[in-house]
Amino acid sequence: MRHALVALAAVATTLALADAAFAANTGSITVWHSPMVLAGSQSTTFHVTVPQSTDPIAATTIYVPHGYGVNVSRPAGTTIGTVAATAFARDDGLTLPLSGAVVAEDPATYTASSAVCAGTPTSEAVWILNLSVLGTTLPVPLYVNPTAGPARALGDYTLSICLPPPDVAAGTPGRAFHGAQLLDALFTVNGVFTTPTAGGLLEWETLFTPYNPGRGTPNPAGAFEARAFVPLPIVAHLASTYSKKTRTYTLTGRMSEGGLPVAGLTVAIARGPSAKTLKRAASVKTGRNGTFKLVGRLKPRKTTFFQASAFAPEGDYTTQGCKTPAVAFAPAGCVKATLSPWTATSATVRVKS
Amino acid sequence: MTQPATFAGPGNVASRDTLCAFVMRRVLLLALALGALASPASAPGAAAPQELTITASDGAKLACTLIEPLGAPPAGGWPAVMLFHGLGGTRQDMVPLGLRLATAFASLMCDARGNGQSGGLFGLDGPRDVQDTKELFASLAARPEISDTQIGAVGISLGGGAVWNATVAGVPFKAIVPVITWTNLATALAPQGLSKSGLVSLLAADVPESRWDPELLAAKPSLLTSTNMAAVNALAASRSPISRLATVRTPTLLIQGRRDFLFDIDQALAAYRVLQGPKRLYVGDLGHPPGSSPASAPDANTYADEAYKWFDHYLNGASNGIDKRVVELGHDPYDGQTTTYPSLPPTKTVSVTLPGTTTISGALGKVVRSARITGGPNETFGVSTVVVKYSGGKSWDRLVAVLATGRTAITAGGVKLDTAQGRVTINLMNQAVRFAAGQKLTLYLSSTSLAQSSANALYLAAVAPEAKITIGRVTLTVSKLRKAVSR
Repeated sequence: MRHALVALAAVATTLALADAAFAANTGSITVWHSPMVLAGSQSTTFHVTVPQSTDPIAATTIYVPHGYGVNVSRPAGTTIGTVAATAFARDDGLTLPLSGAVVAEDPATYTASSAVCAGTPTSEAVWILNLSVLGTTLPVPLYVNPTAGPARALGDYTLSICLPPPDVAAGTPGRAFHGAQLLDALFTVNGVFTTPTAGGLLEWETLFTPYNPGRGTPNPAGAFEARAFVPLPIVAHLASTYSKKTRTYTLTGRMSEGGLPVAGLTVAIARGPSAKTLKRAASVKTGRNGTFKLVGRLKPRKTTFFQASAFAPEGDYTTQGCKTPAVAFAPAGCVKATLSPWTATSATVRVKS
Repeated sequence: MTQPATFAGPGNVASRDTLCAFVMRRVLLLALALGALASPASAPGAAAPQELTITASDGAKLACTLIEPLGAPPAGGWPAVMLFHGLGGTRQDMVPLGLRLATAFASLMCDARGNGQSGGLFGLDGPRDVQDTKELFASLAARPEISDTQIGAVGISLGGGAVWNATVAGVPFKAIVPVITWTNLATALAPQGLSKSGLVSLLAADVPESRWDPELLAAKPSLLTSTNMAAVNALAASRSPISRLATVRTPTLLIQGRRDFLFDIDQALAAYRVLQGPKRLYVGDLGHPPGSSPASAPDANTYADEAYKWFDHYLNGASNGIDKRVVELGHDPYDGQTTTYPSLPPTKTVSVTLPGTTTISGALGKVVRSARITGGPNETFGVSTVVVKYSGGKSWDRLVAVLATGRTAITAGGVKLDTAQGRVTINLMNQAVRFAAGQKLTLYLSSTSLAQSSANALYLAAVAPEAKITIGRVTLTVSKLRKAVSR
């Protein structure tokens, strides 16, 4: 088990989770930043998945956690990121990859669709996810708005996407192009979100409203939630000591995410004669408290540089992260929670022997 | 809140410059190019084209155009050429060629059934289309001003298939010129059982479904999704001349493209190997994508001139030297030269191992490995292969390989996987592409060809987002000319 967070969560199973376990519909969201730092970050990536077996999704609303800065004033026509997606085209029976740019557009040109999807004609920002394949582009608007009312408990801003039904009869007005059902979307926006100044485990709440199968009408009673937890900051700490008597060096370090230790993580140790010529030399595992230690010998009168790095894959945090479902917003419960994947690299340390 | 706002219907489609439209544009341009270039300088001109409606034996009305040379026909009548257009095209596409042939030949061109102004249903050169050709031949041969023993045929792409299928069915053409077409439809559209789904879906869109033969329409989903391929193969076999080509003695000039991801060189080579009569193969710069545009193909004059001479020799008895049995390879880029071989060009293979272990998942998952082949310059020719060791397959049912230099795809291939681990050989299409000595070759492995470039939608259908596979050691074997001819 990678995270101490996950380890803590392995104990209890709540009623809400039990409900979710029996639900037919599911989906997930994972969010991460680059870099995973406080009060900064250059890009934010969202990975949303909905299995083909889940009822087609009518609407997805992502809540930006409290404390984030959101730049809603990118000029129209500005490319702010990229998107790659997978859709199942029911008309053809094909699973299709789609990709393209995310472009900021003028909200004034999307008032009607914004009113329908986001509940307000005047969204603060509209970003178009351009999903292209075979020269055909399916533009999917994403509406950015501040939260209001009870929804403020879930975050400061909403990112709203609405999709047409893919499973109604061919020829039905408003049916998805080629009966395309979105299964997976990975999109990155740059220079939009600024991470909070206070660290911890930041929760990106996401509500999915499915369609009633084959009817093309939303099923609010079937709305379910998924959560993405972003641990900030990620810290890779490395220190060194050297004993001339024994000619041994000792590297000690600690890996933490959101202020909590990361246990069981493989840490790669690179070394070299200069900070620019490091090669992977060893690996160690972090202990329960996220610390690691490596001891070795060095030839006398030499300078050696060391650096530690680690990769943590996306983690399943459902047991802990879905403990308190927001049933007022998602009657069908919380179905999935994830922890961000990340890569961390320590500062370089120098050892003189 | 949840009313659909977008992602819906053609109204939201921002652009649709499809590969298929690209294909058709090229094929039409090819016809124009042949027409523009095939005429000798002393053209006496043609009579005004005659619009005809010929009723097929099943009652379908076939819209045709007949073009005849000016003046009185010679004793025995005009020699004639039947012209067959490409998919989604019309007989008008072939009129320029007919006008040029009118220096010495009458020509008959008709909208294929289910296309243009012709009635009936589109059959993709199926049995009913072959019957149409038989009846059109009979109709042409019955005309008093036409020589019933001097009728040839030229067809492009779909039209080339029509020429082949009619020939193997016994239509007594005196000479034929199939151009950038297939001899085995199954291996062209779904080599190794994996559909070129992007290309197929675009080609399929070229004829409205309301005009399709129901048998063909029923097979479309299977072909697109590479399922129930036995039925697809049976349907393709009935539209492929390959099994009967060894009986053909009709003088045949095959014209194929160096770079053609729809109908590769092997489609023509398969015929050239077994044809029993006079034969000649020209492989040039024309072709379906990513081949050069036929309208601007620098060697268009060369192959068009050969097509004219082929008919002039075998229909009119002209002694012009075209009857020499050779395989001819136009240089790329074209330098005004072709290299001729008395038989198939000699080739050799070079193998490189691309080590590594990489786990990939979903539609975006790809493995990219590179190698340099020493020596050269090199020019691919023949079927290159990629042998892949794989394991840990989970819902991963296909593997597509694209070999590229820089951003240019040299060739590609794909295969269906039915086990979670093993070793598989992917055959890459036979393309003739030059690459410099020591130039880096990059191999992309994924579930789609989009892994190489978002513009390469040849293999479009992807695996599901949750699918996974681990790619181990890969062996790339490149088939190339023993001596590169292009500079």
